[in-house]
Amino acid sequence: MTARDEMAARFAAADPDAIRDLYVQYSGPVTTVAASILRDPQLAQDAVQQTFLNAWRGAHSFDPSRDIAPWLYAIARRAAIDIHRAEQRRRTEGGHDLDVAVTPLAFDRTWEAWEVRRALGELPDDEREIVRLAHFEGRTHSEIAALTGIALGTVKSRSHRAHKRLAHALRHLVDTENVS
Amino acid sequence: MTPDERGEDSAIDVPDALAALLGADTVWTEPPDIADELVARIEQEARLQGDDQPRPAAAGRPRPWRRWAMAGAAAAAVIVGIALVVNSADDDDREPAGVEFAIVGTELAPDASGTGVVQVRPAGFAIIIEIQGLDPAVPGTFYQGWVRSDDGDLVAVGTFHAREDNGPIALWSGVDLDDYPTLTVTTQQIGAGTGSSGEQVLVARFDGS
Repeated sequence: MTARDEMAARFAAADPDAIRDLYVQYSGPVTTVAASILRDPQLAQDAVQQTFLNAWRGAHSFDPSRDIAPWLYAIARRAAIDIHRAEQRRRTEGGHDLDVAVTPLAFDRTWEAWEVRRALGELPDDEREIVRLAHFEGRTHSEIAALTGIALGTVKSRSHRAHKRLAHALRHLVDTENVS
Repeated sequence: MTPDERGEDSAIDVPDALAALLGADTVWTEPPDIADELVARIEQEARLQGDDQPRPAAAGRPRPWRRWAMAGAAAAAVIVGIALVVNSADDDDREPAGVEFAIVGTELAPDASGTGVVQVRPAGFAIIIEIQGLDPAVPGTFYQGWVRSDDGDLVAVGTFHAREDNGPIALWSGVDLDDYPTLTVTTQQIGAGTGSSGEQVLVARFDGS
């Protein structure tokens, strides 16, 4: 039994301590889903908290022999959508125009975002940072080398390894052209 | 523009859609620092779920709260003062005896009021409150319950949002309420740390004073 399997089993047994392990493992992907749907940092935080509370309250319905990620993803997505709708109602009832971003990232793409976040979480810190600088900040390898003080060749090799790991971890998305 | 597009890393083939996700801010958003709050809240719920029936007090001289709770089934008004009413266990066999108290809103929530009941449990004290007139916590905030000693020491007893109508709210204290006789509720900002904001919206005394 892997550590992740053990955590899932403890969680299914409604062990409160397992929620902390679950949070360490999955707060990143849950935050990504919440932020993708809600686009409001405060609402997204509420959705993250509600996700883990709902998960714990529904732990009895989780089958520990299965991967916990899709189950938790569904709870996260539902929590974010519920908060989104409640916020829409609140604003409508208050007579204000809706100015909440409705679906900046379509709901059917939140699973892909979840999986990308999970894959990034599996990278070593130094490789993940290079991916972040390259894709999120749009920096070149030369710029990353200058910024971090790491030799250009090392930056390139870490970037290569990181992208290979990502391609492997996300092959189920890429192969089926689900990332579209 | 990614490094690929600049021709610096042509060996890496990143599909455009994947590159777009890797560049999305949502994929890099840091999760909120709420693990401790979550665990505390869940432990609280777990205790309440596991302790839904009254059990005998521990052997030895009972603490005052335990004496109150035991006596409450037989002789309510004798024990407590004007603001206290002791439930009879005969009223509802499903509910353990408890000591009721009144809750008032502060100047930050002048329309709020409520009642509460303290139930002695084997592992501590369940504090069940029902509040009227308290606005739901605005996004990014929550309500935090505290019990306070007369010396000013605070112990957190649980959080809530008041976003669902009219439901009782279960708080939990592991410390003896004889030593912490005041209940307060503050407004807290998510991610602002575990200390009290000092922004009290509700206050009550368990002993009715």
